Amino acid sequence: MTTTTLTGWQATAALARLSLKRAARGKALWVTLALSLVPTLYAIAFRIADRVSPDRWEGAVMMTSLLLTVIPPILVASSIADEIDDKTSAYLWSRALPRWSIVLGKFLGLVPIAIAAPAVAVTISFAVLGSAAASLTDLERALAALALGTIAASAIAAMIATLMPRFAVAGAVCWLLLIDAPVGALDLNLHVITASFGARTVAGFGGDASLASALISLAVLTAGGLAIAIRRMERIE
Amino acid sequence: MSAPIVVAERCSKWYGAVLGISDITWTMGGGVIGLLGPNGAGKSTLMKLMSGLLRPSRGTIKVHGGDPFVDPLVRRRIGYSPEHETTYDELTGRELVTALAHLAGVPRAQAPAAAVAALEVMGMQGAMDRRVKGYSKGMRQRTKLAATLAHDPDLLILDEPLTGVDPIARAEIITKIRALAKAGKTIVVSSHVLYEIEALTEDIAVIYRGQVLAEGNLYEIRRLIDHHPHRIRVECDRPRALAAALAGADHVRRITMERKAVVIETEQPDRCYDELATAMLDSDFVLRGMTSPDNNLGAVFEYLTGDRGRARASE
Amino acid sequence: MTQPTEAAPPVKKGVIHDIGYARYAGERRAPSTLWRVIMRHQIAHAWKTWWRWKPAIIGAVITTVVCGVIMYVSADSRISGLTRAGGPLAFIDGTLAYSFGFYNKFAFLMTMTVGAAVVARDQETGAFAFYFSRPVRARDYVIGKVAGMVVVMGTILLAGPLLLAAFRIGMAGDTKTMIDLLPWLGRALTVGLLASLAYATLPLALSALVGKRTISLAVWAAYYVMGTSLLSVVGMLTWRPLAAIDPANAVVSLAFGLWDIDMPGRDKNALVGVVPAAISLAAQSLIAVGLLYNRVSRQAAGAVGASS
Repeated sequence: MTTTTLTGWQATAALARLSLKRAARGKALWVTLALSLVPTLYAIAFRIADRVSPDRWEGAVMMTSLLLTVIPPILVASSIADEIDDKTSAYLWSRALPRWSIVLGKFLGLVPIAIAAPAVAVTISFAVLGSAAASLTDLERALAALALGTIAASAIAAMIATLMPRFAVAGAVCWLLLIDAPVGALDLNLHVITASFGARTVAGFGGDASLASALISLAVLTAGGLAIAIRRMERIE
Repeated sequence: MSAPIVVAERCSKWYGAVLGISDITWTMGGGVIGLLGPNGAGKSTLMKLMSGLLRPSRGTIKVHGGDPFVDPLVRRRIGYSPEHETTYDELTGRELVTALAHLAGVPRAQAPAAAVAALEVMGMQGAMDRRVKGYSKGMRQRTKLAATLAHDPDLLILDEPLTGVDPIARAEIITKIRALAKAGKTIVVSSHVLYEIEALTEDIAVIYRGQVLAEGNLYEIRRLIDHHPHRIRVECDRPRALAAALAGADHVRRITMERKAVVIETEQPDRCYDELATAMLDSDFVLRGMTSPDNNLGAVFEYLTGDRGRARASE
Repeated sequence: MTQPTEAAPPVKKGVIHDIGYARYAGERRAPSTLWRVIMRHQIAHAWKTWWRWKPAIIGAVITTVVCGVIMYVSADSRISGLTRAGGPLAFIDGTLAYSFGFYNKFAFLMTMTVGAAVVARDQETGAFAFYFSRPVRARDYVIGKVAGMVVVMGTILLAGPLLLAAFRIGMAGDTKTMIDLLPWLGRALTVGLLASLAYATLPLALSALVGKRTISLAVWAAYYVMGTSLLSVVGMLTWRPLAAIDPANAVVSLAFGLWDIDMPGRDKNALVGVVPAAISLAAQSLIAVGLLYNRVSRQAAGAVGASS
């Protein structure tokens, strides 16, 4: 039998497939799917009450963006932290693959699910509220915002998982909900350090904030979160 | 002489204020080496250092000439089976071993076949399509061992591979490990259960309080402990007469009578065996059995890790 | 004549001390007090490490000491718009009721680091077999866990408000004002106790229902963040008291109601009356304890039955 050493990207792809398969077999995927339906009830409630307006679309998008505080911690943070906490990391660390591929593999394997959940939710909300509440462009912006916001939130969750594996889910939820969301809502320049502000601005609800600054903010958060997670993973013993 | 496989030089590892291993300088060649020591002695730490899971706090450890913590090429030649039994419970045995084989460098197309072959070696072919979640402890151990073998490593590091395994499975695993050693693999196996190691190998390293207290052939180690009285139990038709025949010898320290046997404690085992043979022949004793309770691993271990052993270690 | 002989020393009798296993024959706790052991263990567990109880305590202390909060609150336009009986309200009288909004956040933090994982962790680690192979009944476990969590939550939701109430009474200029302000203690106690009970029991019940630690944390967070927001919306559209199911909203509503304060602006719509808020907190706590007991008693039977 011939054995080779996987390149970092081959290892990343293999780990992404493994993470996806494990997520598909566990409870986390079903909980994620169930949660993604909750924000749609908001749109349904207003539709039934016949109080559809552009404000309701904003409300539906904001309600859906709350998924960003819960789903990345369930999927990304718990996947990385469980690996460390349950000591299954021994199987990966003792193999011939670079440690950065572990963070990146899990990230790339699970983020598509984390993006799909709010994307499905906001699309259903759009369909329920109809054209009186939002245009197709509004939907596209909302989808882009939720996708980019989820990526940034997932990077933050990955970082927290490597920094405090035992409290990864709690830490990530609390950070995203009690720090990121309130600071993102502040009318201060400080809000650029949050994923919630970036997502809201990309969705078109950021007031005077520029789209470019929001995109840069989200990119920096993603890169920073992943860089810290990778750096930490390379040092964990 | 072939190049050493593991070389540790003044290697220490601390977990905060807790000492894992302390200033170990140790060279390991091929074959099966048993790491022996009580819980918390540092066996698992040493194995994790060899596998690249840990980095020494001080000193170096080289495996096949490279640093396993930083060099993937070194880790490709290592198969590590951890002590704990947690695995990816959502997967089937086949999926688990396939994924880990691929991550260890087996090409994606060949990984399933390599996994099945390794699972078959460990006798898991009947259950490999069931999820690991439903496996018994013994099945988990075998699956872990299959995952360790699947990428055909040169060095197998097995941390407590027989823990929690029933006697039949234990015997089977011991047979498999011996077969792997015969096939040319270098195997490091740890246990605190003495007879498990004894069944696997005569080459041991006794780890105690983070240090290698003794290493080499079990019987050689035993011989080196020359000032430790060596017991020989002789079963014969007239034990009292045999005791009387040997009572005057200067190397005999003590003689204890049992119902149908005599136990002789001597400081010079070889001389004692010679004199016993002479006495048997001269006086026509009917020999029914002769054993040396001290030639087993338990006695060596007990001696080395006992008070006297600690005194020796501190010398 | 015979010489008197020296009396021989008494021969010491040999004795062998059996230091092997012997059944414990000392005093045993009455089964009815075992819940206290579980409660103490729960509190001790919460106190361990820096990431469970302590961050929330620090947050609560900061809230109580107020400095930063007062700076923020005084800049809030809603505070200057607070009214009582149609008239403007002194800032100092609105602070305590307003502070419950912050205590809520730290209480939620506490539920994430301890509460929502407690029972699920016991299920995952097999601790039920450990508990119920002893003379611990399901009700001892439930009472112990709930009491432990109420104590833990009380340090966040009760201690701070009581201190603030006492501080406000101490700041009274004369005896009559002081006597007039005495009911503040009762109000702080009422809101704090009901809030502590709800924040202790709801995550515990959810934790018992879900059974997996990470999932129960996520489900509790999702319920707290999204489920309750949704209920507020549905309540706003249909029947206002429905919004009281949101524990955070119920706590704030109860505080604002008991201090008879009107909230200006958009948040006013979310508030419910004192009665629905109190009933909601009490009823949810009762239901949560019932669910917890039901789940634990089933698990108890399973755990002991399964252990071999």
